[in-house]
Amino acid sequence: MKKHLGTVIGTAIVGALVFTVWDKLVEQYGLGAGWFAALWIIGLGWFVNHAIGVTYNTEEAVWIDMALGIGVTGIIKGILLGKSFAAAVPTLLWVVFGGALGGLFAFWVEESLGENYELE
Amino acid sequence: MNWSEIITTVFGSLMFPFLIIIAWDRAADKIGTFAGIAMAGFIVGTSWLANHGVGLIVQGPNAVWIDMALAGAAGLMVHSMLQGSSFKKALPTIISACVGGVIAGIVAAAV
Repeated sequence: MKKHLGTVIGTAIVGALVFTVWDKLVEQYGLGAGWFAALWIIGLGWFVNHAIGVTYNTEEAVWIDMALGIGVTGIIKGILLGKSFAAAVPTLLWVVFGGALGGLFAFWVEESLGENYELE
Repeated sequence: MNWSEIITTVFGSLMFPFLIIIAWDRAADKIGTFAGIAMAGFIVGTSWLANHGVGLIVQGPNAVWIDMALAGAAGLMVHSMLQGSSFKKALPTIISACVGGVIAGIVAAAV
């Protein structure tokens, strides 16, 4: 169970940072701050959740990215603030569809790169 | 959503996981962990500017926010499944990540 505690906390931390600090930075300093927010919030989140591995993923299981926790954070925040979930459904469907296509295309491109592809 | 909104939404949603899958781990493995951290800026930051700053991903009127992160998660899962990984074995992590998201959502809404 302790390994799953890591996932809960790791995703909660990065999700909370994204949906509190990031918005504030953009509101205060504009779009450029949004790029930098990605660097240090997601950079830190990636390092903790995936490089160190606080989010529990194994070779044999489908990869679950902290991005899932971040996406859920956005949805829950919106619901609690009284925004419409129904109005978000078309966006949600197309976003998941587009995302799935991105994964599929990446898989195909990797196949053509070859299994033994090594970055020089 | 009209057709031009669907096209930009799908494109932006496709672009983000594609870049993550192709570039991120290769940079981290070959160049090192700092490259991995820098990738957050290049991949996520740049995608964020396109998807949310410019607005490739079109949000609904007064709608709950649909983050490009969901596109990322979906793409990574599909890619992983195509590589033959088990969805069933990932269920505990999926649930845990959702629980983490709910906690963070509560905190974010309370601010």
